[in-house]
Amino acid sequence: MRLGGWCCLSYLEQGKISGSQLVILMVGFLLGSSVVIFPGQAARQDAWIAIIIGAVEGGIFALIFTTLARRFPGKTMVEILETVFSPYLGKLIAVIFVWYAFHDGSFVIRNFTDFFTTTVMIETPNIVFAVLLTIVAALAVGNGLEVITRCSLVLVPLTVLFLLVTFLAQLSQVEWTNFLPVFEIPVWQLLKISHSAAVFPFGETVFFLMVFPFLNRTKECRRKTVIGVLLGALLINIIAWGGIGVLGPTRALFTYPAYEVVKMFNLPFINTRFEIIVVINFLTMGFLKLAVLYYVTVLGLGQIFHLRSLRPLIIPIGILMIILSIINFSGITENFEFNTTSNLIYSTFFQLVIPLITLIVAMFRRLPRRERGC
Amino acid sequence: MKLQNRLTFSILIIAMTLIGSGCWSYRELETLGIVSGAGFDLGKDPEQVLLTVQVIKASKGKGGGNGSLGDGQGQGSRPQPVAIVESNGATAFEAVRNAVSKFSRRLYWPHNQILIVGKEAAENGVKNYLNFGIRQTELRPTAWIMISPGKAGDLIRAPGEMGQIPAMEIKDMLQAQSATSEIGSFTFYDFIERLMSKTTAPLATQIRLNKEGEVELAGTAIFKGEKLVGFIGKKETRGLLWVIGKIKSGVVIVKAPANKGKVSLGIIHAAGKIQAETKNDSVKITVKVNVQSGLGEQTGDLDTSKPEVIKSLARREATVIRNEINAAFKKAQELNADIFGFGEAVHRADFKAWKKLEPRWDEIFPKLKVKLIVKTNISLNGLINKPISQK
Amino acid sequence: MFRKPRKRLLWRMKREIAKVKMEFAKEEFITKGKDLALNLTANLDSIQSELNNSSDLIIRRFGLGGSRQDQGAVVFIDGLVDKKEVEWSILRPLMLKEAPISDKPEGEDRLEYIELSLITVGEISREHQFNRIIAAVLSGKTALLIDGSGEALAIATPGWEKRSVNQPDSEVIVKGPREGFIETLRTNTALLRRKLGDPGLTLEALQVGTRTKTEVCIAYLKDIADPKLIKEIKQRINRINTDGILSAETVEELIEDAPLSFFATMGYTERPDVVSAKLLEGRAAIFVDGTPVVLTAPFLFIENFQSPDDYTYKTYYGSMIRWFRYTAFGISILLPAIYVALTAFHQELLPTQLLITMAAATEGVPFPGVVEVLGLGVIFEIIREAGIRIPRPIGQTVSIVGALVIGEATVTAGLVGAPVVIVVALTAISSFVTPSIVQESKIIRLGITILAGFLGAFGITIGLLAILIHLASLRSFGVPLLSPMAPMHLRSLTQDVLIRAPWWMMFTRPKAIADQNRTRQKFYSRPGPPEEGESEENR
Repeated sequence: MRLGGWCCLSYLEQGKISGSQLVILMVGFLLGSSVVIFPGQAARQDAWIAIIIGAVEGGIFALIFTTLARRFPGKTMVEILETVFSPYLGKLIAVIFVWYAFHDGSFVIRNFTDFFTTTVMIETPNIVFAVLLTIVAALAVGNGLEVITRCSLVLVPLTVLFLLVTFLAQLSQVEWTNFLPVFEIPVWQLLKISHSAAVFPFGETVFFLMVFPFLNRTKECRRKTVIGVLLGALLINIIAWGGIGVLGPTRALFTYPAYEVVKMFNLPFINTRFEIIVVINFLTMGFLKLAVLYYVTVLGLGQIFHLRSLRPLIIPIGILMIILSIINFSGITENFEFNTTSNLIYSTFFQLVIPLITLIVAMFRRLPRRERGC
Repeated sequence: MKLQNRLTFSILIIAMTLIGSGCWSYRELETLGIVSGAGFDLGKDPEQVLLTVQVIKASKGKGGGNGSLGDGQGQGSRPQPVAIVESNGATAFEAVRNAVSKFSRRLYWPHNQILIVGKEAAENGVKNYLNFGIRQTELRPTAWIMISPGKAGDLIRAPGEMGQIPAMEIKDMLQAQSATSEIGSFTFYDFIERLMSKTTAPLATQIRLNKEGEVELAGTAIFKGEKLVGFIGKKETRGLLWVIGKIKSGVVIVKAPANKGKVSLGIIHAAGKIQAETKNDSVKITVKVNVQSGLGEQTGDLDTSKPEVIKSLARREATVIRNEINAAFKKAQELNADIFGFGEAVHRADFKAWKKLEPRWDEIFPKLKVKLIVKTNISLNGLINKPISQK
Repeated sequence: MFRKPRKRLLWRMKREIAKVKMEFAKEEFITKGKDLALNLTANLDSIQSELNNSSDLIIRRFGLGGSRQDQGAVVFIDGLVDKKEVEWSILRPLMLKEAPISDKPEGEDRLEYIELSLITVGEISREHQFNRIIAAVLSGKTALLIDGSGEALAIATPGWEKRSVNQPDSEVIVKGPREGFIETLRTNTALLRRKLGDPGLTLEALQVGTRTKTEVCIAYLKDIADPKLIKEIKQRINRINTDGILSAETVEELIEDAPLSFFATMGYTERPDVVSAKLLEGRAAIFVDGTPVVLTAPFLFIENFQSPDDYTYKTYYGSMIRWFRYTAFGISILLPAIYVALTAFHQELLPTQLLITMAAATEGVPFPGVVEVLGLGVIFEIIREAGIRIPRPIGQTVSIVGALVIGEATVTAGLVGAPVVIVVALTAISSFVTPSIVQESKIIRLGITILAGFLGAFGITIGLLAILIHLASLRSFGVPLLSPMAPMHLRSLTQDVLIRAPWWMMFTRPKAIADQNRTRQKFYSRPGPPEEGESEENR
């Protein structure tokens, strides 16, 4: 058992992760729900353009919040907020920020359970999936950031491999005419759809503000975040290309096009279907995303209330997250509706507005003042 | 340190979740009635759906030793490896549910190979049956969809030739059709893809029982929207397949110049392409078909070693192909069903104009002029390059 | 469940104090004890009474240099010493008349003279404490006491029975050296010494077990192994406070990082070549007297899949066989679960023909698939255990009864479907491919199969995720168990994990273990004919 770190402010997390580990964790985080629900679906055959524009927009968000992180090296978002605004106002904003992570975590659970109960195991009540997934995520959160990162190092390469294999297998079925006509959607609408892709998932990297302080070299955070967002966009686009090319117009029909695509053909030679791969991808990536959000929530709360240990928070937060995931929406349609409408503004507030205001206030107050130390 | 407590606690939670979760989705193999083929007809009351299902009998003895149960055919000689279940319902979904009361097992759909809809039912609209299939996660989108001019149930009941599962035999037969490319094969998914577009006509394979009571594939069924409007024969079907680029292989028979018998040309590669142009609401469609073929056989003594002979054969081949396409096009215009997807081609080329054209497509299509460019090339001679009769 | 942090701190402090106290007590135990008396008879009596007049204690009194008085005595345990050696190297020089011992003054000087000039044994030490003399005698030394001296000589004359150096049964290889460790510590270290001529090879001896007094030896290469690692190992071994150490595994359980985990965090081997290879990678080895098993630390998960044979095969086959091993491990933990998931939850994934065949094979079987798989698995474990425990000649019968009667008859009787038998058999065979992780794989398999029985593929993935998290949280002496996969070290991955790189490409030691001295060889030392020149691809 390792002693130490008791004096340091960030005693709640003693792990350190490297820049490349951050990239991989971020890719896993971005793939999260996007493995089955790829963003920009409403743009039909232009979905891939929407994703690219969305990624660029998300990248701009990232530039803003990483500037904030670089201004306060070694500080999490909660600590930054407390420094920039007075401790009381800062705490209030921090609570709102943590709420967003919590809320987002409940979305992940919801998407996850919805997917399972509509595709693979229809008869099983969704609480079972929610509970088991949360237990596993709680296990990871309890072990700290390093363990979550290490899990991502194993899971993400596997998922990427699976994605590439399915993509290559799809190539023979792709009808190139399905990509035409390009830019059918009016630009204004396309931008709106792109914005929905930017807030879900690219802008969600804002949560990494709670992770950046644990980087080996904090200054790297901007470059690595941008790389992560671009890589994530590429992978999500690969899924989207497959979906558009194979399914064509029918894509609009399906709740989970990415799953439907894989159902279309058999694995060569063995002649089996392998849509289960999509299920596994979603499970592992969803787990990663949930673990990060869960961790951010727990760590944020721990820092707001200056707890000595995160453990007491883990199980209650998990239970609340499951409950929220159930009462959030009455059904899957409401969930999708939220994603395409209210979420656009709701998420932008957290992903862009809060970091931007914090940054501006910090600039005006000339923070941080010269101070060194951990 | 209450590690033991913690351990017990977590094990307890997990065990409770698991046991509490029970095994809702658990279904043992032997409780499944694996559906290999299904047919939809109108019931006695036209509001009702009559579902006929072919269920695989899996048993240890090869070829199913228990004799036939429930199948009307059962001609004694060879025991059927499938059971036939029939049920009625107001909707397709209800018919499926009602089958439970007549059959000991739960119908299990993912391995369904073929879906046959009877003519009457198809003329009334197929959405009812399809919606069931696609919303239910169980049905494979790759199942083949077929239309029978008679009752679908009869085809589902028809015994297989080889004593195997009849639906599988039909599926194999359909896939073997790529040798001639005279029968189009359309999956459930293809059908829906065409149905999704408002103008393109959905297609399905036509299947029927011939006079000897054998199952036979006989061309293509054409839909307008969700309703069956007519059938086209093998020749027109191939004309259609040329255009939509679904020809895999096949044989084109052309008359040799100077009455020197017939020459069969084997298709090596064929590609069809539809190009659309719009100019102030007028639509110009160009169909390009590119065919590469090789000499398969010849009946006369045409000297095939000369390039000009080959060229003239190619020209003749192009004429044959053009005739086939024209036949299909004529039929399509008669039925006013855009089986080629010209509308979608316009959409791809100019989506702004398409917005205006789409509602009027039914008026435009029957009058549509199509420019047809068929390019043929005979690139392979086979193992000999002269007729055998020559010295 | 939720320990309060303050309580935890308090508890930690208490533990630290207890540790210090304990070490203090241990030290006391060794140093306490009275000194030897000057009177020989008194000393001998004390020894005898201390050892409770054991029947194997032999005390031979004799006169020095032909004297008739009994001025000296040798004390040893029958069976632990080489009697010839005692006779020739100790008794003979002392008792012969020629020895001019009588000239020397009595007491320590005389003893020193004896030690320096008369006794012809290599290893010898002078002791003045009573307890140490007894400990020396019990560990196979011969004690020489003379009248009038407060000191005694402990002379190493080991001569107990030992096994010869053989190929270990548990780690059989196709090519490569065939010697294996035996139960004697000294022989084992000698085997290692012969492999590693480097003067940096350091052997540090410790003694553990308050009653067994087992000698434990830490071996490492001085400039390669991390000093912190060695310090940590020593600390942990010193912390051991138990009465008996009978095997290396006991030591392992007492010092490993994650005592509650079912994964091993220390490696073991019975082969000197393996130990040498591991020392060369910067690990430390722990020899325990009385067992042929040598522990190595830090341990990486990937070591479970490495076999000495990989390095004797050509690199292509070596890499391939390693992937087979990964696959076999995958089969051994997943196959029953996948079978259950496929047949009970995801029948749509099977090709239709296979589904029909399977359905036919399980037709009429009374139990659900999970029960069949688990039940047959248990039966298999029982047969296996029986095969190991019973005397060899009957072992054949067990396998016949097990394989033929149970396997064949259950299928014929329709109690179990034939696919289940195939699955269980395949699983069992696959699990033997990676012997060092066979225990873990059994537990994982059981858990995942049950999960699969409840929740199909979801259960399997959840189970695997939980295991992954657990593995990722484990450390072996400060090194993450999943290294070099997570945290990822690309060079280590491409050298010894994804492929078994050729030796000339293994220019670094694993980063996670030997970070301070990573260079194994020149960067690019590909062999080739001399005229071609050497490094085309410089850094």
